[in-house]
Amino acid sequence: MVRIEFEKELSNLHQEIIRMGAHVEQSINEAVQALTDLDSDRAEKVIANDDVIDEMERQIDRSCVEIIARQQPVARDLRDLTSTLKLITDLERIADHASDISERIIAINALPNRIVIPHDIITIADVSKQMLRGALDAYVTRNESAASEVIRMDDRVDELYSKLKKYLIHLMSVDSENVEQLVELLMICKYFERISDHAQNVAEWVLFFIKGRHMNYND
Amino acid sequence: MLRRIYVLILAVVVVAIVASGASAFFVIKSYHSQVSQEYLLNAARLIEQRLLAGDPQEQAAADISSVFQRDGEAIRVTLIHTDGTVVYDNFSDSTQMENHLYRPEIKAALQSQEAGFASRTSETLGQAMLYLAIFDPELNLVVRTSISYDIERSGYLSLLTTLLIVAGLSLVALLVIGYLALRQITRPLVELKQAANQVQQGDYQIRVGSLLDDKSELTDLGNAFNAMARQLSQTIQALEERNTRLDVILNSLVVPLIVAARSHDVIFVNRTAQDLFDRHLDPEQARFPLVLVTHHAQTEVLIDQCLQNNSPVSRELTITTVRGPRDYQVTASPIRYTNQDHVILTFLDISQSRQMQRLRSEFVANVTHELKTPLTSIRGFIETLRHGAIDKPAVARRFLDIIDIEAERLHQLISDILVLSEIEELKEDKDRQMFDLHALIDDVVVLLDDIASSRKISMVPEIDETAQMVSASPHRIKQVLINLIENAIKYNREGGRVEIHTRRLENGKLELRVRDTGPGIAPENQERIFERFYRVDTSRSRELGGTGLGLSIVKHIAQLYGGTARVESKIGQGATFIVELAI
Repeated sequence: MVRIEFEKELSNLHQEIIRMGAHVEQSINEAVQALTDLDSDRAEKVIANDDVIDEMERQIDRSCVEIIARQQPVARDLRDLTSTLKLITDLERIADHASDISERIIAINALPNRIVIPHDIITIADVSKQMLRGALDAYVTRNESAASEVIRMDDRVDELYSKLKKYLIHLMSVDSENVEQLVELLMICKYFERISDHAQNVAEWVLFFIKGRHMNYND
Repeated sequence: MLRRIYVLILAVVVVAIVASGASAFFVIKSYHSQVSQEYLLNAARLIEQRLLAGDPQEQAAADISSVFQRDGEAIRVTLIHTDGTVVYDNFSDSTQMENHLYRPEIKAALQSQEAGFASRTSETLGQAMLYLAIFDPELNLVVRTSISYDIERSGYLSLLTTLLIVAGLSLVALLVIGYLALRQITRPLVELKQAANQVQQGDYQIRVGSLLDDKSELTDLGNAFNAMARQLSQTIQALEERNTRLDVILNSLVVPLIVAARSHDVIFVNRTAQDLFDRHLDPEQARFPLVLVTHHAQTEVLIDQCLQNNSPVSRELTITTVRGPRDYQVTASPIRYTNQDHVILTFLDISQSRQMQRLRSEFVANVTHELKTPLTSIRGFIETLRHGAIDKPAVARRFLDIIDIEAERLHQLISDILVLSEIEELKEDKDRQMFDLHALIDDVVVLLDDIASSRKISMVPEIDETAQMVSASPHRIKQVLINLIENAIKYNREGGRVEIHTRRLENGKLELRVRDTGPGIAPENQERIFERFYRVDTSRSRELGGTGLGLSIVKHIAQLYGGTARVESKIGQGATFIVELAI
């Protein structure tokens, strides 16, 4: 009886996390769209949505702690709950970065000169988006290979980031009028790079849950 | 079942063997004991006869006991006086032996005058013995013969051994034969059981054979089983086919479709929806909420409303898809099966119709605005005239001129709108006729000469021989020429040029180029100037009496003749309008 109740609580908790993931995903989608169109209104919405996600994180965190206190789970169940606690922190950080990106977009729009967004920034945005999607899919299906795929994708983002950094620095040296915009763009790139790192973390927590131990991917 | 039958048979057999063995043993044992008694009796009678014949006691006993031997052991002979004293014993010293009067066999022999028999342990020899005693009144002696009980017992012990061996062997034989026979009998049942297991594991092709061979009571069962398996396999196959068909249909549907439960859990997503939302998860493999697919909280609200009203609910939502945010008409309809409330969500892309709607309302707003501007001006001047200006002839004439210009503009605007809507309605021109394009261009040049010369602008038609006779409506081509050339004159510098080129292209189309020496058009405006009411410089355009529809009309006429209209321009270097027409 107790076990059945526990399973139910755990299942509901997972659904809440998936919901939170969907919200974070939508934030990223909107932020990327706002970046593509340089649309400040859309960016404002992303920033407003961040509070909703923070609240979701607090709620899930509370539920987690409550379940641990009441049911005193062991072994696999405990692992499930602790990885959940870690995972939602990463999801929340991703949403924060989406909000940061939106702030940068608004800042860019406030500057006088219009600039063209380099295509690679849209690419790094798309890859980060894909990583988050992959990590969530891996979480939903508890799929090891999907999680590993996400972890592999992070290298691509790192590569794109260093390439973009060089390119933007080059642009700054030749286009002194738009240095401010270019700095904002560089920050946006950094945020996407951070988002992909957090997506990788989510994938790692999924793997930790499946396998019961931490993988070292730095080798 | 096999085991239970086996155990039952085994129990019956063991009981039978034990019972028959035991009874045989007891019968033989009692027979054996009777034989032993007669043996001892014979010996005693012989001794008695020898004694009666007057043989000495020792002689008689020795002779007889040497004859009556069993397993190499002579029988023991004891002679006892009626008072109980032992007078002779061939196994021990008679003088040492105690009084035997109260030994059971002797007592029995003395009392009954018949043979006394006893089986007991000898006090003299200290071993179990069988005793037989007879009393002879003539000799006044009791003759007792005895043998060791061990010898007696070894007789029937060997019998017992034989019995046990036989029983054991027959038991083993029975175990083997019984097992084989039982297996033979239950073989069809075992086969049936295995077949049933196979069916349970999903092999619906299995049939039982051996049950049908032997025409036993199980044949009917076998037939029934095979019929059931056949039926099951057909049903399963039909179900699978239906499933596959439904799957293919739902997945081939171009409309994105999602089925969700009351809990907002996704039950089914068709391929179109998976592609649209770029989420390729199988709801049969994992549980996830609708919002993970649609990323729109309102889709879940729709489910609640739909289930609450138990009727379809529809709403227009802007949804993030792989192609970016798009407008969808999302419809939720309730479905009910196996006692569960589910909702079918369909997504109808209305981005295009919304865009059209937006354009239409924009057009209406523009038209209204464009119509109101000259009207306001006309009414204003009429009002001024009424309030006394009419009495000042010079002012009144000037005002009337302005009213005339505005009325003319209004007229021009309305006729342009009518032309535009007329062209838009047409799919192809039915008034085509052959005519001379050069003559038409000359007509237009003459027509516009007044305006051109007032601004000291020269018009230079350069006409290609290959593009003289064309098949079209001269009225419409004239409209194109007037609009383009008039624009080129109006948006030109004083003393500038307007060049008009025509030529036949390699693809057979007629190219019409009108080049001016005006200020040129910025790149971001080049596409938009063909839109209705789009003006690069609104006030200047009005001042020049433009309606904002001229180029739009040109573009639509070009499209009517299967062609295109575009502009090439650089700021400060004039503009060239190029119209291609399949005429």
